[in-house]
Amino acid sequence: MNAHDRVLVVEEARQPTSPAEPLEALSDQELVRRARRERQAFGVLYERHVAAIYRYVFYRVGNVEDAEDLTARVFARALRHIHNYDDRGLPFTAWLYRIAHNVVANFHRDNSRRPSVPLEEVDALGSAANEDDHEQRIDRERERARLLRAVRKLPPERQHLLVLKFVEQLQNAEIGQIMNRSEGAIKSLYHRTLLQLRQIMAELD
Amino acid sequence: MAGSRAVLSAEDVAWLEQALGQAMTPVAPRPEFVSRAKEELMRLPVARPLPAWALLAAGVALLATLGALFYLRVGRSATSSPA
Repeated sequence: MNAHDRVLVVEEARQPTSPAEPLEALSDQELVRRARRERQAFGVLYERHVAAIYRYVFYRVGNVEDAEDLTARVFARALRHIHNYDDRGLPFTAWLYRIAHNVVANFHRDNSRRPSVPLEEVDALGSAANEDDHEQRIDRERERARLLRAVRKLPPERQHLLVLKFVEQLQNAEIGQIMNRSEGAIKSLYHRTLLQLRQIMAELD
Repeated sequence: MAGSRAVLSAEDVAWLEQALGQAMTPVAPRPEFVSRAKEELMRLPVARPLPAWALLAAGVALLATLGALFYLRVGRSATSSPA
């Protein structure tokens, strides 16, 4: 990037927005339209969705460093391709999750490893600060790590479903919107996911 | 919890849901990561799609190249064929 381009980028990033229309009040779809010419609009989309995408990536890769690196890549890729985003009535998050899915798949392919969640990170997942019984706490953390290991052995689509259900606490209808499936299909997929999860856990024993 | 049955009992579902609910808690990204990543995003160069005329010009150039190659190939085989 030459100096002239750099100036253009900085100027674009500083473009003022209309005070009568705060960007934060706009819908995702409107922000996407504006993000194609106004960098600040993409900044609002980022602020709005970074935590959810981070959580999805975190539960797919199992550690903070990779989750941060991949989350940043997801948004960089979204910004590069924002012109190609096609609003087909699906939530913007569905598009972001699809990018995140591809970024995580590339990561696993490139590394060909499935990192497990270190205990200290599992610790950070829960709030076990006031535990009296140290051994009980260790056992619980071990069981939690085992379950998360089993979750990461599920197919990506099923991991996604569990993240949306348990981490994002969404209803089946909302999950269906994001995953582009009917509510009934999500219910059925959820049941099959629990079944497979139990089988994987039995194999881990 | 039985591991080999192909169906889930209500107890299995309840156990799994409770375990998942405890294990999969909402984690928050570190604030310093959120702000640093945003700054880096805002510094990325703006990607602009190619204008329609550029795509059209590229298409015409490609067709012209293919046409020229085809013309040369046909012309060469016509001159090299035995009389």
